[in-house]
Amino acid sequence: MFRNRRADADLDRELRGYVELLTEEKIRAGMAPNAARRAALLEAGGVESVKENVRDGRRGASLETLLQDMRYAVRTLRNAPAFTTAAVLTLAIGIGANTAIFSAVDGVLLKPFPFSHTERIVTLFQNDRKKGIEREDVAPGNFASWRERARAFAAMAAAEPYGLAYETPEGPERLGNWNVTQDFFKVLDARPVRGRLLHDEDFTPGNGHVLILTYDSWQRRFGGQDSVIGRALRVGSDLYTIVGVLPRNFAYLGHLKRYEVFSPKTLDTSEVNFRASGWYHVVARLKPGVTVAQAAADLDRVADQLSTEYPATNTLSAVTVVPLRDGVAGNAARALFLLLGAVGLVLLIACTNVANLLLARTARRAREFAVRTALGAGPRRITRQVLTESFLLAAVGGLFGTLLAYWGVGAIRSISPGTLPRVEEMRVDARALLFALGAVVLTTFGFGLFPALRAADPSSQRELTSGARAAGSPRQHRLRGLLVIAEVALAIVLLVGAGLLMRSFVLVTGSDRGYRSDHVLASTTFIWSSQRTPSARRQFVTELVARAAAIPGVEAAAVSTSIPLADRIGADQAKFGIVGQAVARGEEPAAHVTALTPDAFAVLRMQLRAGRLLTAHDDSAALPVAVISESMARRYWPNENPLGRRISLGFYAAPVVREVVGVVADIRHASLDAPPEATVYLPHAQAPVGDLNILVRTRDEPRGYERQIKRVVASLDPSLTMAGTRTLDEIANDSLKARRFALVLFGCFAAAALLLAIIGVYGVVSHSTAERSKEFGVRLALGAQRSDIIRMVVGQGLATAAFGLAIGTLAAAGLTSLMANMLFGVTPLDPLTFGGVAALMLATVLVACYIPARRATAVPPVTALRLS
Amino acid sequence: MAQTNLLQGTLDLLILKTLTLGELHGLGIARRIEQITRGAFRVKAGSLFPALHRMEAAGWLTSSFGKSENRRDAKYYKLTRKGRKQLEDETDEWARIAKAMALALRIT
Repeated sequence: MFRNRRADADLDRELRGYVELLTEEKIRAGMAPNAARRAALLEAGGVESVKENVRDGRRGASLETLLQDMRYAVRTLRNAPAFTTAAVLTLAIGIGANTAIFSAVDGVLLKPFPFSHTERIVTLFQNDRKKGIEREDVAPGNFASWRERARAFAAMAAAEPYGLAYETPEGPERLGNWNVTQDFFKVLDARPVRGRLLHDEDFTPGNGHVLILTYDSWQRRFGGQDSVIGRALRVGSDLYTIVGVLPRNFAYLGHLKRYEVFSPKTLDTSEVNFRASGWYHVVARLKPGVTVAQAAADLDRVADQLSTEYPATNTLSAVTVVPLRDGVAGNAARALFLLLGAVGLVLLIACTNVANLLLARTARRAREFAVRTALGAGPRRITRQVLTESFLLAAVGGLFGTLLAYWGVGAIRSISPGTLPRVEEMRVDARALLFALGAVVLTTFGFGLFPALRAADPSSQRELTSGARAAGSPRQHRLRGLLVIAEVALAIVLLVGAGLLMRSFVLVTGSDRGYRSDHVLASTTFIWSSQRTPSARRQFVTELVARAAAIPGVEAAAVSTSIPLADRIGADQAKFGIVGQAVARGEEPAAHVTALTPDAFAVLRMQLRAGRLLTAHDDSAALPVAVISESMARRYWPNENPLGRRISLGFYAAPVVREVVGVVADIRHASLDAPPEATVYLPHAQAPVGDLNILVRTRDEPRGYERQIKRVVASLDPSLTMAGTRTLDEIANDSLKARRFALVLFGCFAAAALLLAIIGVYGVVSHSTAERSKEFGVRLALGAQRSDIIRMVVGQGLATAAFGLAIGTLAAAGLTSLMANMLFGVTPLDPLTFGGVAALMLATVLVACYIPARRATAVPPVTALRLS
Repeated sequence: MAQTNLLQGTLDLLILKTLTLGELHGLGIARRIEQITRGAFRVKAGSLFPALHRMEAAGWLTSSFGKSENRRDAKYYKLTRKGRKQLEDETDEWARIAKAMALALRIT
């Protein structure tokens, strides 16, 4: 700017000198001074215009020309409000959706972690080769052995998901917390923002009652006050002191639950020797210079030793080493990248659409460009002008898009499934804005470059101005036809993806669950600490069920150790043996086990398939019995009657031989889209262990019974806290959150794609019919029927769309295998989906062609002819 | 378009040529060109100054303010090394074109 002003001053001085010299020359030649000056100015040809010429000749795009181009662009765009609105809206949707999804992907997967040398942090899992599960939670005994024997790590730590309830004046509040072992914060290398993290003394006996808050819970629960440090919380009979707060971006990754506090944990002797099942999450920091592969080899060596030493539990057990970043999201990452791809396609369609609009517009403006060329504007100048307009469109679109993204990221966060970590990192921040800016620049060239080059191309200008009114040449039509084909093809790919997800969703929700989730409320509590003996628990449960059933409006009440589709807190898996069948040690089959009171079958409306259900007579004095699920019966007694068979099963206790007395329909316990597990149901009176969930079936809206259930529990034992109360419908819905998340986003993108493609088709067809009104007039005058012309136009539109359809279908067939693991009950090449999408596309194209065709032929032929 | 380029090239060549004898200001260049082409080219300020600035930006010329013979403020242009090289190249190019044109015109 400054340099420009100086150059202008210099130029001014130079030209003034020139005029003076010229004047002097004329005076010397004998002219009068005044006349000489006038003649000199005349000869110079207008000092201002000379200056303008010099400035134009300066190399590079000076700010001034840019501003001038901008002003001109603003003016032209303001004069075409319909075009501008359409283009800006299209781009806003494209850029906005992309920025929102980028923010999500960036927050979850790309942003750097707040740890030093993140590449050295790994998460460790048990690899159960027997069951084929590569990433299993770790048994405490195995963790202890790994930590002791592995040499590749600078530090290794485990975290146990746990819950605690602290007293507040309004009653007990529950917190999810991680019990972490000694080196946990050393592995993750975190620094506190307030107070301190864990010291070695915190892990000595009697000193473990300290809490570290996450930033989020500090803000939300404790108002972000500094005074929180040193504050004591009453947890049961203990006092826990808050000693530190973690930084905002600290996210304990690789693990699904977003817990709020961390407290120290020391493994006791029984845990150090426990290897049968795992629930610990293990993280470790590699020694400098050690690679992940070397660490894996080191752990393989340890696992081999363990499998010889503990054949009962550790045969075929290995270790999976996952770098932190890869361990973050697994399937969630895949879904997110798929969404990023989908939303990229939306932007492509948006660009194609705007390019199409712009091409039509440049065709209409051919004369303007021709005039400007005649006035001396070079092709570069015109290209620059059109690109400036495109940039302006993209920038305004990007601005609206960013607003859209702000809103969109909020929406994405609110529907994001609990399995998605680091959701708090999803936001439209500087990185997202940079992304949006990049998208603006890229789209500017994406949709603007081609029309700009064509606008400046003298041959196309001549071609375009030759026809009196017709603004389109055959070449132009071909081009726009190609753009329509591309749009339709891209939209087909997205529609097929969304269609497959939709079919999967419908199939999942419609699949037989084996129980009814409506009108059931589930409240969870823990009775281990207050009801310590089996008989006390039995008595407590009997009384609890009786009082809950007596609540007016409750049809049936029961207690169960697990809730279908809810996160399981304990590992309700147990190994069992079939009496009369010998199985090698360590090879026993496992089943999901639920202990429940008899009325639970009625509360859940489970269906009996054979034998009988459990009754109140199956108590501690009676013969031990069990009811099994259909899939268990089918798997272990194929073509046999399972009734009367005996199994040996230990559920949080030594194995007991039980007789199978009934078979019930399968319930999906883990998730609706996984095959049903083998399940054993035990009478709670014969196995009074495990978590305690109170289930009530109510006559009306179950939520209303929450307080009454709480009151019943408090009347029996005021020290008990409720861990949570939810309806079974809510639980079942939550279990579908991940699926719904992908479906909703993909569906939105597909809908946007379809809309944009249809706008594109409509735009092109109505443009070409408008141009051909003269031709139609001639045809009508020569005796063609209106219906013939409509059929011709629609036929041409459909033919173009059919091309796009074919290409899109082929592309979709190639791409849908990427989403195979998100599908349920349909193959990636599901013919119903492909057929439905094709029909939908053709139907919409038909409408999009029919309307402009009708309109064009509605003009009387005489008017059409006269118009040209 | 082609025509403009040719004319522009011609003017550049003439400016470079006039400056081989020493530095000159704008009017001086215009008058010298008139002189050596025996009045065939009268260069107007509207084309002269843009050309000078463009050529300066290209590094063929340098300029500085000075006083004219009768103490007027004037900007003087001087040929650079690069400008001299450019002159040689363009002279060769011009000779080639002129020969080709002459040949072509004689034949038809």
